[in-house]
Amino acid sequence: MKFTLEDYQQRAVDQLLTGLARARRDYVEDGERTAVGLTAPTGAGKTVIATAVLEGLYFGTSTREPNPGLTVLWLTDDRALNAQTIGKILQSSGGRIDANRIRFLADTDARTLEPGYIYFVHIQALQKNSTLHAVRVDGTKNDRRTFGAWDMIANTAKDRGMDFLVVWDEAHRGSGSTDTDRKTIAGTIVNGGERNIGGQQPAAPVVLGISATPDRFLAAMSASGRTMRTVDVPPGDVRESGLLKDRILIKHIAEAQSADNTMLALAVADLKGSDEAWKAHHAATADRIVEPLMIVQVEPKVTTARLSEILTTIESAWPELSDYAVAHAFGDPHGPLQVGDRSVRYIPPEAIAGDDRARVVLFKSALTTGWDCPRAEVLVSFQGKDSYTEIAQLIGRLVRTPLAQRMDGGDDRLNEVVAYLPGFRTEHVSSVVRSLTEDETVQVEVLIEPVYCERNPSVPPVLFERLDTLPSYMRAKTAFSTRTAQLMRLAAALNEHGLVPGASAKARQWMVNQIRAADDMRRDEIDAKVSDNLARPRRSATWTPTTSAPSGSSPTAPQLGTGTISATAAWTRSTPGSGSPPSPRLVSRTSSKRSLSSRSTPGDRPTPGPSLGCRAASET
Amino acid sequence: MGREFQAIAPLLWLRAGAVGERIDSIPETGWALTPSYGILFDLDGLAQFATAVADAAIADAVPRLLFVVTDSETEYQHAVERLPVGIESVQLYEDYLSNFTVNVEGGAP
Repeated sequence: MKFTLEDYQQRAVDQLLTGLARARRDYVEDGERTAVGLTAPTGAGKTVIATAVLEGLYFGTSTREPNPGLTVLWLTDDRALNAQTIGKILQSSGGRIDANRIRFLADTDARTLEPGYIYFVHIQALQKNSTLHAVRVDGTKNDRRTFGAWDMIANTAKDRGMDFLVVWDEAHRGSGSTDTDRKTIAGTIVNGGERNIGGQQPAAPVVLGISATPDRFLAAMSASGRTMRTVDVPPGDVRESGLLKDRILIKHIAEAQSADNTMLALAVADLKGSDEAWKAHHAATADRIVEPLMIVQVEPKVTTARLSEILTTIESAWPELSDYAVAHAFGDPHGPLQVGDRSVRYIPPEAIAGDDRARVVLFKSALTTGWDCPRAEVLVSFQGKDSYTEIAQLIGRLVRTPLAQRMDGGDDRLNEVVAYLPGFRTEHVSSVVRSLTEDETVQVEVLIEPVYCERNPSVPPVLFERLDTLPSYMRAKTAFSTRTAQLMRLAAALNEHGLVPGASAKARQWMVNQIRAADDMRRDEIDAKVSDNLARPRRSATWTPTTSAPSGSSPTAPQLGTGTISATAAWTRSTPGSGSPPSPRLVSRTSSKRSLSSRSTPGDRPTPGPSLGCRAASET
Repeated sequence: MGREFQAIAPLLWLRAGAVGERIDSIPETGWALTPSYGILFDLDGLAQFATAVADAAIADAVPRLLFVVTDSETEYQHAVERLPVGIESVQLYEDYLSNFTVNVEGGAP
């Protein structure tokens, strides 16, 4: 992972891995099928959690064996969501899950899906009239395919059983498919049964469901008689983490038409302020510059004249907001929109976050979930007071923090999103808030008509200056997975503050020395074991793991986890370079361990190189 | 690490967009930065490296990609937290193999 997981995320990852390990065991033992569910509110980082789970499955953790041959089928609603999810996975993994590992089911034509790959498919690609079927609904043969999508999935489920994981991303809704379509197709993959093109589909052995609320997940899985294991992320934890903006400020004036343009001008001023705050933040910290964005939700049946009025108001309040900076995301047309003498470009909602030049986007409704625009800091809605669900849905897309962390010490404005609701009375505003917290499961503090408390001018300014110089400490948020990890973190901190120069290198050296000392201490014992093992014929029947494994692995200090391995690996490699004679003894011990662990496996599977480390560590 | 790095230096340069000069050797300081990419070879150079990257980013010469050479996930995460948010970074394992595995079959992660 590229990011240090939040505590709650790490917990969810551990629980999910446990659940999946159990699911695998149950399937092997008696064919029992399980659905492991991750349910978490908006902004909890569901894709990040799922990425960490995939890493844990493929590469193992300090306590779990890696399974490099796992095949994953990731099911989403539409093509755009596929692309977005892949992007998020690659980004949060930081190169550990490689792009080479990801494939599209649509580009695959083979009897089964291959081990070690993650396949993406969206539900529309499996609809009746899709080109992914080898035999079409009317019985004719598709010349472009040898194996149909349904068959590839079915064969993989049958052949690879426990090594096949179906991920159903239910939380993010796409736009294209109707609800029944989605449920049928996804349901057939998950639970088996009649395919939409005819024929029978076997049920998937193990399913990982990702969903916004437990109810939705249970509803989706209920029909199948699966064992359910749900992992629920409590909303409070998400709020703590800084992944969501701290506050949603709602401003409203309960007057009709006349207030609209005043509000719009206020919103633009607010956007400008936010822009300045981010520029200052960039100059102070060099964090990526955030170009804040304003979303204008117009009336469902807006006239061209009204649109023109809106655009003029925006442009006169901040001249920068013209031409290319303004875009629309209406359902229709999906192309440039002519408003008087202006042409407003179209931008698909999922592209907004990546298009830095768009500063104002016009919307009618939020259309879909699954896209986010953390950069949007200001919302103006001209929807009627009855459309609170639409407004809540749109606000739900804006609540993530643009840099995925709380901005401390700076301007509070950086942690807020402001919604202007002209024409709303207080009771209407509260239905928006209710809709936001209930339907969208957004857990952010909502302030209605906030009043800023300025500093009291009669207090001498020197007092505030003093206040700013008070030291502040950040509460440590990481729970370390191993003591080695904790040591390396401490070393980095000591080095950072100049307390111990070269601390990281020293920490590594210290660990190597510990291992070396332990190795020296039991030299005779180890040497005997090594020569004994090397002399033996390579047959698993002649070797009893119970007698030799414990003493063979005991020299490693018991509290050392995965980090030990990196130290060992670094040392065996760096020894020749550093001039001292290489130590064949420790190297041969490492390699003998390799043969130990591979021989102890009944199937005599080849042990993959780097994962050897985890295996060796888990024996201690 | 020295010899292996020579061999993959062009690959890193390619991966970072194939622009500008190439980092071909490991400097004493433990880090190197060009206008288009940077490599942190030694976590002990993190503080200096982070400052250099931040200065470059504020001066509008944002590097496209930063490589962090370490086998320890903890060290990598620490480096990411320390570096300016929003600049792509990649963990480069000390054996360099994992980063350039083309064929994932056979279990090399």
